[in-house]
Amino acid sequence: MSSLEEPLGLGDLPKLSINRLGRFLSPTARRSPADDHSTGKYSNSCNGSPFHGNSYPWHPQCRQADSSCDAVELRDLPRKVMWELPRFVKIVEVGPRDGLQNEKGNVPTSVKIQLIHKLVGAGLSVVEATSFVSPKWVPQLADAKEVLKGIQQEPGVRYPVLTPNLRGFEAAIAAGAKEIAVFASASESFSKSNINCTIEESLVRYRDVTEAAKKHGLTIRGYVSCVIGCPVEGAIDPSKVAYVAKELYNMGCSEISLGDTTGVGTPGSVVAMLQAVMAFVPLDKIAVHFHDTYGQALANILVSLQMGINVVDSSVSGLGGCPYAKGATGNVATEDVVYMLHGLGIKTNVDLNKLMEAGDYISKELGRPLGSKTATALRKLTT
Amino acid sequence: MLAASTKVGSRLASPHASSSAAAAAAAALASSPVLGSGMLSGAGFGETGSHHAADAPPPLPCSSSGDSREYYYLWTRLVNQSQSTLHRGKVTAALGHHVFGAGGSSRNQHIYRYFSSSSHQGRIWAGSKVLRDLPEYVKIVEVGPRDGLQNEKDIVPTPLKVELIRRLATSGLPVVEATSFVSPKWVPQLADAKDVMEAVQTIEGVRLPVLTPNLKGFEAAIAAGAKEIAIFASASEGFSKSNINCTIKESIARYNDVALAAKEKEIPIRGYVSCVVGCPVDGPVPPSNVAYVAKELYDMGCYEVSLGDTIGVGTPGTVVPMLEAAMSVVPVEKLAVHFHDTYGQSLSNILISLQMGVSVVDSSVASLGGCPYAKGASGNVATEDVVYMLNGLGIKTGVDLGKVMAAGEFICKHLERQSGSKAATALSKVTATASKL
Repeated sequence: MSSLEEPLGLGDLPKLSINRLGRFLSPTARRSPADDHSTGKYSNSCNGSPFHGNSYPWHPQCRQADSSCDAVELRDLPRKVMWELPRFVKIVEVGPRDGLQNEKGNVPTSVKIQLIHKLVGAGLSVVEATSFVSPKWVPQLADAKEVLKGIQQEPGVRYPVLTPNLRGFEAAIAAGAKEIAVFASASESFSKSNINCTIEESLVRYRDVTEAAKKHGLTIRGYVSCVIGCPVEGAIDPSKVAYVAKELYNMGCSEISLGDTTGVGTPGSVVAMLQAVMAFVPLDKIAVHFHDTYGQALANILVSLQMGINVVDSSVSGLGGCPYAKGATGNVATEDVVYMLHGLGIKTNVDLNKLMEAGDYISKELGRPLGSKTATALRKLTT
Repeated sequence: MLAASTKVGSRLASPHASSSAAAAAAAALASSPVLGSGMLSGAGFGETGSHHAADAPPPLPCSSSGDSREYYYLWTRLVNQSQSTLHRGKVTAALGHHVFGAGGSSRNQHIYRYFSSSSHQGRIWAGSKVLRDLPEYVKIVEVGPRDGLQNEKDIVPTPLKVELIRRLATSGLPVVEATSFVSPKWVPQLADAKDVMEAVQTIEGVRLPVLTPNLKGFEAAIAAGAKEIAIFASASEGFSKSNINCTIKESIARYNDVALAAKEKEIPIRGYVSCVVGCPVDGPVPPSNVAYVAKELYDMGCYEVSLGDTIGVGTPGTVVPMLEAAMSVVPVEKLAVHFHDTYGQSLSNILISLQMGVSVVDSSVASLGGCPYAKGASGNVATEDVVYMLNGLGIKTGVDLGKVMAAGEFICKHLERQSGSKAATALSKVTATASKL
């Protein structure tokens, strides 16, 4: 496991920083020799002092080479607020698909491939590669076939691709896809305006796709959009979300990602929605996909973790604005999520530094500023 | 899952009371044809946990009618006015209102029912232990005019500062930090403290604390008409020395004099502890330091101690131990949290603080006030984002989100900068593009 905590580099030391870290490190904080980081196994054993929450990526002199010694055993904290926090959270990186799909600029195929490689290199084990939809609707991903064929698929890493119908599915298979994703809405109006059919019709369509996928032995990921609010209808009934999630699950999806498409959710509405879905879909098959349009994503993720969810979708550098509120932000930034998870002592296998590099890379290519506050802060610390 | 939650005495909405605003909104929304159609009828989840829907998928209703656009506008206006949000203990017109949240509070351990309803009934959300013990009311302390403007590059003329304070006061914010009586050599942006203070004397219904780092500042504040003061100590030696040029102990001694003078005049004092999680000089800060300083300030007579994550590095993992330490020496109702959003962590930190029992939150309109330690990075958390979250949780604040947004727009226009509030940005953009739908 690689939890960030490598310093930014000797050349990056800000003038104010003085290494007094030693004073505050618990002398008992040691790396457990049983840890095996490279294969992604994780352990939470470190008898650091209780306060020694996590390593401190923001403290540039933080030379925590043995970065395993980070997790304060939060479960030991006599605090009810840390109930049921997962020990490990899988991050599903949607930048190359959901992110780029909603960016104004278009990047060449080679850049997309490079981005995916960098993301995988940072430790992400699921990276949504592209989408096999008509280029008429999503011109930014018209090169889906080339991207999928062009990436060097690492063993143990998943590269799901969106396939809205059988035709997209065939194209995906032909390009070598091993995992596909399907998208249904919890809101009728959104379904009509987004994919031009009712929820029921879309589910029928997806049943064909999933049948075909199962025949080919592919994994299927299901998405539910508008799980809290719809840009047309307003608030969405959680039971509706539960229904769609259940349908997707019954169809054979190995994971259901619940998306707050307009970003309007707050912990209260999120909890209600999750409770509804959790009544029908096993906890470990549920992922959360929050948008940060109203700045609520991290709080929503936190409360989802407290409910036991352990899969979180996010987008490097917050790629992907919100199409319903011009100029507003969309996807939550992976760097910010990773920063919070590591601070909670939750393992992710993600190297924050390498992740920030990937974010930097794509932001430069797109000519847009970094969409992650963590990345911005850590970068600016060095000026 | 539901069965478990019914055993837990969740905060439950009592089935009757409903605020008049909520009722009015409910009536308005209920009459919209969109709502009735959006729901799965008959798919109820009984309190025993049996799920009818599990037996057979309920029939999907037909989609919304053409009145959806009208409804959408109504929804957006409601969001902007944040009128009928869930209140603890009250049933809500949550239907169609996106700022709904967990159920109300009920000290009685009612069984929490969760069901989808038809458009005329209120929605009672399933309580969950993670949201069970949230406070019913959170006091928001607006620090924009002081902490915000102090850290902005441009200097705002006095009349604009006064106008900002006035607008913030009328939005319902109970406390607005007006200014700071420090040497203009250090903080030129607030050199007009005396003039601001004199001009805001006429604003009623809001408390206007001012910073006074020493006796001289205190006396100037009193002469200008201040009725409440604030003092600032650091939990980190390194920061104390570099920020106010003395050790923590020395600063406490200095503030003791101020506190004595204030008590003599019966002026309430608010205490601030800075660097409660991390220090730009010293690195991580031990919670015991925070407890020590908080206790000193509290014992000195501060009616409230605000714990500030000055460089914004905290996450719930570090915030929880820090709060535990502080709560062991200062009663939780006297504690406030002051998070910075430099790393995007403030709302989750605020949420965990609420779960720990804190019920006072500092924030800054439009997220005024960058971070002086990470050039270009953001600083204070935006009041609008905080209010948005609290509204969604059904927590009362007394604050009108629309008016705060207007105040934010006002000051950002003059500072020629974008609002740092995501909620404000989204809400103002949503109406702009509504016609696209």
